[in-house]
Amino acid sequence: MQEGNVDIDRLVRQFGTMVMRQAYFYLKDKQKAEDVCQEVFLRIYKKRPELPDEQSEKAYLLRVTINLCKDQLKSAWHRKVVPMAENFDAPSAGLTPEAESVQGEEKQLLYQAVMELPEIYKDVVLLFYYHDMQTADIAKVLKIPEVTVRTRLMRARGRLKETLKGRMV
Amino acid sequence: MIKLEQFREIADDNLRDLSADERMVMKVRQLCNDSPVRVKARVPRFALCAAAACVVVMGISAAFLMKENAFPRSRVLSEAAPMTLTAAQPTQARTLSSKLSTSESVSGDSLSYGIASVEEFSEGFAVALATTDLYGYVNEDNLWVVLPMYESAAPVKDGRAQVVLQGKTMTIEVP
Repeated sequence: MQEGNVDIDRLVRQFGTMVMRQAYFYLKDKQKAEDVCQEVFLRIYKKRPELPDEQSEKAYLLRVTINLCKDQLKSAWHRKVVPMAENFDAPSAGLTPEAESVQGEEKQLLYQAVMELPEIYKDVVLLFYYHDMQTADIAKVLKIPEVTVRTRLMRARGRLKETLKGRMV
Repeated sequence: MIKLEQFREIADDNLRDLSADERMVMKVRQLCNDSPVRVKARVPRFALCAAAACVVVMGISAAFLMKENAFPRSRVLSEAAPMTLTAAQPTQARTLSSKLSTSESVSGDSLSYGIASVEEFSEGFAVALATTDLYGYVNEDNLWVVLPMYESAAPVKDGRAQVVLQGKTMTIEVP
């Protein structure tokens, strides 16, 4: 399905998983993540922005996703579900056997610690470590100076080290 | 020891069931079909100027009318009988002398809700009721260490506490 310069089907197939997981990182709810995912692509369909390359498409989609998620989080009726170590309700059927080992426990602690970071730090950590974006691109997505991105990354690492108490390098 | 660089692998492992499949493609396609793109009508410039001028004239008129006290003054109500406040019965819970309309978390975030009451401290943390009628945990500086999102919460014991969230009882670590 193509409207103007936007091929929605291709965008959904190529970036749908990325958008959905990014939404899940904020909303921690599979259904809400799917709703946000649909809304993101609907907005692109309506606005038809000029996206000359894949990097631009990725950056634009992430920006819209983050903004939509934050709008939802600000909503008075939204209730955050904070996943705790032994009660985390991940979409998957259950933890893999590997996760039962000590290293598996550390991995889940790291995951949980990132998920519980304040938004300003979670933004940069997800874009840098999950989406492999450079600080310059992160600055464009979040519309903040690159120096701020680097500072927040540094502070986020510090917080995570403190939270994980010597378990993180 | 774990590295932050492993986060992506861990997240993908945790979220392996969360992905956009053909069902999502069809859903988005359906949404787009139901929401046709509207072409914005080009409004002549003189029409925009005329509309702006009307708004300015209406604003000036409204300001003029208000200044001339066109609206009647409010009627002063008679004084109500003075209320006698009874002393609150002492309870185990510590009620703050004035409900705070805002509060802070340990991470330094300012929150738009306050602390209505705080229960007894245990291991340095106490169950606190927010002005949103949800429970969380605060430290001895009255800073939220666990944000209030629980329908009920029990005191901390051995670094853990039982809480009820969306009708489900669970155990969380505090902080």
